[in-house]
Amino acid sequence: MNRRNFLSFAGGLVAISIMPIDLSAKDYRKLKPDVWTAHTIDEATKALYGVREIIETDKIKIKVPKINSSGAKVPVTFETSIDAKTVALFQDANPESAVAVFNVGPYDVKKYGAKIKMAKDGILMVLVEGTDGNIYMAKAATKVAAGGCEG
Amino acid sequence: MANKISAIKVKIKNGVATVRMAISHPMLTYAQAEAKTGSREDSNFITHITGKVGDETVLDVSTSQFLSKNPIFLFLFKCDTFKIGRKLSGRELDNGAKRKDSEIGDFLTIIATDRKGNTYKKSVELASRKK
Repeated sequence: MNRRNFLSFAGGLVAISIMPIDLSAKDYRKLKPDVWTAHTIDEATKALYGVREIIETDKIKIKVPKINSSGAKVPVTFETSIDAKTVALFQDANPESAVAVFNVGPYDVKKYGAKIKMAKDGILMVLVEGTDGNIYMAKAATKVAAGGCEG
Repeated sequence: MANKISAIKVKIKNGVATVRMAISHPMLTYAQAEAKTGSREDSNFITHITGKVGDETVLDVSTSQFLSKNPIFLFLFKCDTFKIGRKLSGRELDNGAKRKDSEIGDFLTIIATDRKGNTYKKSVELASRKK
């Protein structure tokens, strides 16, 4: 057997044996690196969930001010009552669109909040991957008086 | 200013813990790093936050550069299976009362990792005044 081939094969085995320990904490930056470099919400969605039908729902609630004086700190809170595997927050104002991907565990109440940056007016989108395999989505628009991404 | 998790506050009500945390971190985006130092590689931001009580994971989030500078973060989790400590009342504190060992609750540990590989860790006790 070629030595080089053998080495890569052994590396694969190690990776497989390590995986079950890592399952409790999922780092989506390593699992799905394309999500974080995608420039539009569509691209990021495809990178994260693949090509799947997206259902718009009112079971996801996003709370964000209509107008923000500064884009450096836009307070967002969102919650959902859907049985979820993952929850993702995207926006379309910044050069890249992904903000956060949550891995939902058994203890999660599925309510999160954060302060985020917005370079200009834009749309916030929360996507939820349900345990039933469907993708759910809700949008909220917000306006920004002064951009908070470049300064 | 040194980067750190500067504060974690936990409020417990009806078996649900509301956690607010503040992290001191510049959260430099690629564009900001380029404007400041001329290199996109100097960008530095929190990439992952994990919350743990004992061995159980209560928060697991991968984040990007678009959290604000010195981000504030909120999440809720069900805590009725964890041990909740008893907070001393003001009167007990004034009298110098000490808690029994059985009244100390489980600890919530937040671990944040940034792009340069630094990790920040802080623990806070799950405690409430009422049972």
